[in-house]
Formats: sequence, structure tokens, C-alpha cells
Amino acid sequence: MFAASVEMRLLTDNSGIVLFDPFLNQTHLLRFTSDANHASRFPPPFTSDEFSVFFGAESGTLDVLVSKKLVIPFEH
Amino acid sequence: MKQLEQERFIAIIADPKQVQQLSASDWEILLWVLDTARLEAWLNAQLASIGLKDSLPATVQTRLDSAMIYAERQQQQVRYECEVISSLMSEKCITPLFLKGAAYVISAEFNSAGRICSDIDALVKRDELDVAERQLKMNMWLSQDVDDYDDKYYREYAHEIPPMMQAERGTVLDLHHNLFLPVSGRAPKIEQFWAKTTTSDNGLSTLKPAAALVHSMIHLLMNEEVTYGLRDCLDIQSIIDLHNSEAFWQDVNTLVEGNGFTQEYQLLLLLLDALFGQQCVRERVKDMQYTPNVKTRFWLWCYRKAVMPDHPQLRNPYAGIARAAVYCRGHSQKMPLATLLKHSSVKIYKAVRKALVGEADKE
Amino acid sequence: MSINYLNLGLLQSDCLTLPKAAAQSARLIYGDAPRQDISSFCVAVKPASLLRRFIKPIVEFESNFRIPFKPLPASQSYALLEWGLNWCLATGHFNHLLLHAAVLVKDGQAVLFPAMPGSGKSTLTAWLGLNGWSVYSDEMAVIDLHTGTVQPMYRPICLKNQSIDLVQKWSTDAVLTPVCHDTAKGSVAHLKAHNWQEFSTFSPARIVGVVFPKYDASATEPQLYAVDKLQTFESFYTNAFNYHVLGQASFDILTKVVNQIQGFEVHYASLDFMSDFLTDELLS
Repeated sequence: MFAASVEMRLLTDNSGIVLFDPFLNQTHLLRFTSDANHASRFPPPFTSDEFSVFFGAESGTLDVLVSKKLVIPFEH
Repeated sequence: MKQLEQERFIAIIADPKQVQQLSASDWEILLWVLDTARLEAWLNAQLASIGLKDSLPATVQTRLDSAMIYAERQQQQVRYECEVISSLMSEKCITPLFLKGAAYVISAEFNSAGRICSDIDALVKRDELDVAERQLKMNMWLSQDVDDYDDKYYREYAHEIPPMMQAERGTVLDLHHNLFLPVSGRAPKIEQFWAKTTTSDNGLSTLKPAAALVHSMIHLLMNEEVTYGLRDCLDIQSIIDLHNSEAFWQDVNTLVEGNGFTQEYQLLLLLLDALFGQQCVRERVKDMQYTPNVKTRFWLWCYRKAVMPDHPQLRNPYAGIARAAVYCRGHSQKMPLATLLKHSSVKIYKAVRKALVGEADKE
Repeated sequence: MSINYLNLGLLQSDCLTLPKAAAQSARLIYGDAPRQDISSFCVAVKPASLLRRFIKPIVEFESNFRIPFKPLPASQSYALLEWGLNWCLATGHFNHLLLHAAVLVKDGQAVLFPAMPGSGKSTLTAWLGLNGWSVYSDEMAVIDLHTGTVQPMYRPICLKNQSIDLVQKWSTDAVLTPVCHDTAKGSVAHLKAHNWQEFSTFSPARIVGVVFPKYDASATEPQLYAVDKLQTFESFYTNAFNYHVLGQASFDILTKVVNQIQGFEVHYASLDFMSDFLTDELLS
């Protein structure tokens, strides 16, 4: 596991976010599920509102923890 | 079929601003030949550095840009792979030394603009080789499929283990313990090279420029094939251009003389002078005060032809003969005759068997 | 008479040698295009060996004198050439993002149809092309990395099996190459979608939508499903030929395009319905 900076883009229909890790050249898709409104791809689960609070509503650069192919956003 | 003369081709490589005189038809051939030689992105870097790119035909700019995008992506992959390999090895207290293309990409001591390398070469100490191999295998690096004979060839005769491939990413790693086959009797005193290493800011180790030059020379002039020989010559010329100083040449001479490579070194300088005609090499040739004998003149002729890219639209008469001579020389340098005969007979038997009945079943 | 170059609009390939029948098909499809000054690729289709020139003849595709695929029966020479050109683009053209999708354009607006097996995409592409839509490509969307617009390519539509008969029924003047039978995809023929005069009026088009068509003969009523942007992104990403080489540039432009377009999955039995749907729902 190591920390990395990834590029994060919000999708305008709120279906989720897409992430790009320029060091590993990997792309990750993170879905906000509509029913429980929780991110379903990895722990800890969080809502799209929580996501906006932590990481802002704008696309930008995000610090994440990378474990093989999983991407886990974390707060500083 | 239209062709480009090899003299014209090498004149452009030696002095890239000569592309301004190329016709549309010449441009086509030049780019296809460079593609075969893995030098398209190299030319892009040269032309960009002398501010000539914008004046080129649009299609040419597109092709060069495309080649450069690919090369840059490949270099990014190489940097990543070297960090991963280095990190794995450090868990077993091994520091790998990255060689050739990978080294040129990861270290600021070398100019790697446009350089493509298809696999990663690394050196570890002989007594660390087994541990290194096991560590790689535990981390999804697989030994490439070789039969028992080839496996023995690598381990007993050669200076490397069979190539390893990362299972998920397909990257190929050649792990060496020396720079030339021990069975040849001409393997260098490897501790002299271990004494000439440098570590970059990202913690990765490579040979110092003088040692890298000598290694590249061994690779070029003591192997049986020179498929990317022109690229290897450009690598060496680039090292010289960047580091041309008395101290540098002193280091080169020490390694050359200390390992019995004087003949190869003389041939190398003459070859670089014949290809590129750069002042810094010409001065060394003059300082050598060496009059090439018949044998050296013959090998100079062979290599001058053999390193040209092998492409049907590059006119290079007698290149076939030159490459055959280099092939024989490479093989005979790698093994004593008795071993070579035994090795050749096994290789011939396997080739005949495959032609008649297909690949042997895996045991 | 041989054909020495294949002008695809976006770029050109020299054509060094082709078997006679394949050369005839190539002239049919590409013969009316003018020559560009400089070719980007050089390709050939030639017999695999002296022996196999005469006995169960097989041919191989060469790109810059290298052979990337296994040989095929000589009867499939023209199809092999087209597949070979796809390979040249996918592995050698990194100036655009290339997606495996058909591109149909009307009024300067483009709709993409990602390649899904069994979707009836080629039949749909051919029908739309014969009914007022511009076929920018049958199989490869060429996306500008800065603007996200799609560029046209001068390539035929690859028809398979029953769609060959359908096209011949729809249009008696349809320009079709002879059918290659027993390919990996069944029977295959290539349809010239436009002539060079029409093609030279095509300019880069803004992408407005992506449609995942599913032909269902039993669908009495067409079924429409909205596809969200994450699904659309995933579909483009998994159908991209050179995304991984382009890295962040492809990530950025794909995100920009996905955020600007609508996505639909359409189960249909009627081609008329599809045309109306595309015009009414996607074109502004």
C-alpha cells in the first residue's frame, strides 16, 4: 500500500467519479449507488454528500491509498 | 521498389537537419526504416531540440508525434517497473543495478529522449542471484518457458538466468550476474563495474557513464546479432557527447585495459567515427595513434554495414555477408570451440526436430 | 491494374502488393480517392509461402514488412487487408483516441455506437448510411484529444451474413465487394458507404450521444433505457484501442465527452424507429 495522487473527475449526472493514477497509469471507476446512496466499490462506504464534504464538489487532484488495484480515498 | 541509399540515411542520422532536403517519397522510406530500427521517436527528439519540427510536412509531424507519445508512455512504464523491482529486491537487501535502455531512462546522467526499451536489464551479484530469482517468483514474475537445455545454457554457460515476465503486466526482466558469458573466458572482472555505480534521486542504481559505455560496447561488439546496433551506437555517442572529459576517458581506458577489451575499444571508436564523424571521437582516434590492420579494417567494414537497419527499402549491398560474419564472430567469442560445437549441434537438432514434427511436448 | 495507395482520409497507407481479387475490391472501395503526398504506413497481402501459393493457398498481411497475424485462406485476402489496416491504426496511431465504435453523423452532430457482438450494429450503420446519415466510421471512432470532436475516416462498412442480403435488397446501387465466406465472423462483404466527393464534405463533428443498440426481432414495441455516465465511461474505456498508451490525455478527453453526452440502450425491431429516435432524442 502506498499513497498516491490521482486525478479525480465528477460525472455530471452524479452516477459516480472516475479516477486516474498517472504513476501506475490506472483508471478507476467509483459508483455512487442510487438506492442506499453509498459508494459500493470499497470500504469505508460513504455517501456522495460525504464525498463532497471531504473532497470538494470540484474535479481535481485527490490523495488516495493504493493497494494493488484498489483505490481508497482518505482525508489528510 | 523505391529505396534510400544507406549513405544518405546515415548522413541524416549524423546530422538531422539534412531532413530539410528530403522529398515526400524519401520521408516515407526514412520513417519506415526508423520504425524498424526503433528510432522514430529519437529523430523526433533530435528535430525538436534543433527547432526544426514545425517546418516539416504535417504528416511527418503526426507520425513523429505518435512515435513520441508511445516512447514516453513506455518510459513511464520502465520507471515504474524499475521502482517496483528495486523495492522487491531491497526486501532481501539486494541492490539491483539497472543496465542499458532502462538505465538511460531512469538516470539523469544519460539522455534518453525518444529511447524505447522493450525489456529491463538488471545486474545483481552472483551469490545474490538465487535469492533475487526466488523473490521475483514470489511476486508474480514467471520464468519464461525454456526447455531444460536452454535453461542449462543460461545458468551454466551464460551470465544471466532465463528471462522473467511479470504475470499481470507482461514486462520482461533479464537478470544478469555479469556483463558477458563466463564460459567465454572474456567476462569482465565484474567487481570493477560494481565500483563504478551511481544512485539517482529516486534511489535507483545504474553504472556511471564510463562503465555504461564499456558495457554498451561489449553488448554491441561481442554479440552475434546487431538488430538494434545503430541505436546502440547512438546510445554510446550520446554518452560521449554528454561526458566528454579527460576524467571520463581515463575511466573508460582503465576499464578497457583492465579487462582486455582494447581491440574492441579501437574498433568501437573507428566505427563511431565512420558513422557519425563527431569531433570528440575523431580526437580520440587520433590520440590512439593506431593504424588499423587488415583484420580490424575487415570488422570495421562488417559492423559499418551490419548496424544499419535491416529494411528492404534501405539499399545496403553486402549487408547479408556482413551480418553473417558478425553472427559467427559473436558466437565464437561467446564460447570456446568445443562448447560451441556441442551447443550448435544441440541447437541444430532441436531446429530440425521442430521443422519435422513441431514443438516438443512439455514434460 | 493494381492499387498503390489507400487514402483513408485521416492518413494514407502505401499498398505494396495485393492478390488480384483483393486489389479489385480495394479499387472499388478506395479507387476514387486522390493520393496524399506522404503515406504513414506501408502494407501488403501476399502468399504465405511459395508452396502455399498453389496448394490450399494462404496469404499473410504485412505492415512495414512485419507479419502481425497468422495467415488466412487466400479467398479472405480483402477482409485481411481491412483487418490489417485496423491493426495499423490501433497499434501505430497515437494522435487520437481510438474507440471501437461506429460513428454516424447528421447536421454536424455525431452519435457513437460501441461495438457489441450481436447488436446488429453494422446493419444499422449501413441502413442509416443509406438514409441520410454520414458514416464517419463503421468500427473505429477517431476522437480529437483536445476538442473531443470525432474525425471522419474513408473506410467501408463491414457487413456480415444476413446483413449482406438486406443491403442488396435496400439498394440496388450499393457498391459491395464480393463476399468472403467461412471467415471467423462468418460471411463478410464490404460496403462502400460514400464516394470521395461526399466524404470530402465531412468535417469534425461534436459527439452528442452514445447508443447501445440491441436488435430484437420479437420487440413489438421498442424498449428504451437510460445509460448513466459511469456506464458510458466504462463502455468507452473497455472499448478503447489505445487508451492505455495515451494515459491521462485519454482520461481527460473521455471524461469531458462523457459529461457532455446522453446515453441510451435501445431494443428495437424497426430500423425506421431507430432513425427517428436518433434524430428526435439526440440531435438538437
